Amino acid sequence: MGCDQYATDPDFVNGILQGGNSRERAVECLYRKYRRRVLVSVQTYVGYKSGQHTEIQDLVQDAFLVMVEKICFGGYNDGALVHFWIGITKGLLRNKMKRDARMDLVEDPIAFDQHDAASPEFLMISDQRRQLLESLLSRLGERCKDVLILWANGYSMREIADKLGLSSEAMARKTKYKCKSQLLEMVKGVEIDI
Amino acid sequence: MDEHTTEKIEAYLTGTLSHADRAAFEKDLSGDADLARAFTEHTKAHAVINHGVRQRWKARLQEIDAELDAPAHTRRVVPLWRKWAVAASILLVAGAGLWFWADYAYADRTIATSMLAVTEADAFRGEGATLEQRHVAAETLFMQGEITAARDAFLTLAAEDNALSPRADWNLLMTYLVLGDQPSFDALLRSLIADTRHVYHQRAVRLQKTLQHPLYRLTH
Repeated sequence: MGCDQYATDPDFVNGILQGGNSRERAVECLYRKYRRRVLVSVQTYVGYKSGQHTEIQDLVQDAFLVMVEKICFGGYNDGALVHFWIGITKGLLRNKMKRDARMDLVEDPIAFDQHDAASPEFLMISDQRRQLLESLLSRLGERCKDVLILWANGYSMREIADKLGLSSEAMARKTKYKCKSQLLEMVKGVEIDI
Repeated sequence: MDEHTTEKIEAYLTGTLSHADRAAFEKDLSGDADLARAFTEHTKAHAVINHGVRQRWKARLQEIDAELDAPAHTRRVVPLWRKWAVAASILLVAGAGLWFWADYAYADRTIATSMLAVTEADAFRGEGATLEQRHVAAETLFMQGEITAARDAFLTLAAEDNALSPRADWNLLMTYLVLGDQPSFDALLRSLIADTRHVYHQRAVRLQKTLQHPLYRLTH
């Protein structure tokens, strides 16, 4: 995949904010560009122990997705994306440590973390909530899931129609409306921790 | 809930409202109980959708990790058939090159031209200069491709009994080789090999070895 068009952090941010195919490309390129740096930084922070690599990789991915959400919905203010990502990862790490004392933090010479570890973004999703969301998603059906996920990722109705092989933009809009109504019916009366 | 309000809620939840519109919407939200109720339902629905979005992205990031963490040698697997095809192509090209080279290097004319005994320039002095000139004339005919005329000239020179007759024997052999006169060539070559005292005996032996070389046999 070609990532040459993203020379600076604002290029990535603009690509993500555009939504749809642009967001997909920008997100993938951003992840590929800084992933190693973030992993090394976090591994140094926790003190590398064999067996922790997969857990750290998992946290780095979760932090990356939090970062993308912050870029899309507010919460990112023009700083270096790599430091932003490392900061979020460390916030998630501290939350994890509250429940799991296996990781010993090494003193961090550089204060990357400017984020409030108690903010809602850093609260790890509980197993109960995860199960509830997954159950609702699975009841939605594959086609509806695809349409709503693409829509939430900023794809236009034209792009959704093209990607899912729907006959027209109008058909994509109609499908999205039906699926969203179905989902609203499903969540009615269900308690979801927001 | 009317379509316009739904669109506004969705725009708020997908982050596509401007800063000013967001503020206005939040103000409406605090003063409108119906809007607040609808907003809560949409927020729950969006929590489900966003969970799906995160799941999809997570799966994609895991694919990228697997791709980037794979050892370099496993990233690009070359199928066996392609390796064989490349090897066969190299052999084919090398074989064709060898064939063209051997076809030239082991051609009768190439062998004869490279082995022709040539008269030295300083031989044109004193007695015998005329004999030398006759040899040079015959060699020139050979070099110019007039092999039959060269053969006749060397036949005459070889029949004479003088110091240059052995050279005429040898050069006559070369003309037989180029002309493809196999019986005459074989007879003369045999006699040169048999006569160990002949000046061109060693050359005759070498020529015989060349003619027995596998590449000579392959190209003839």
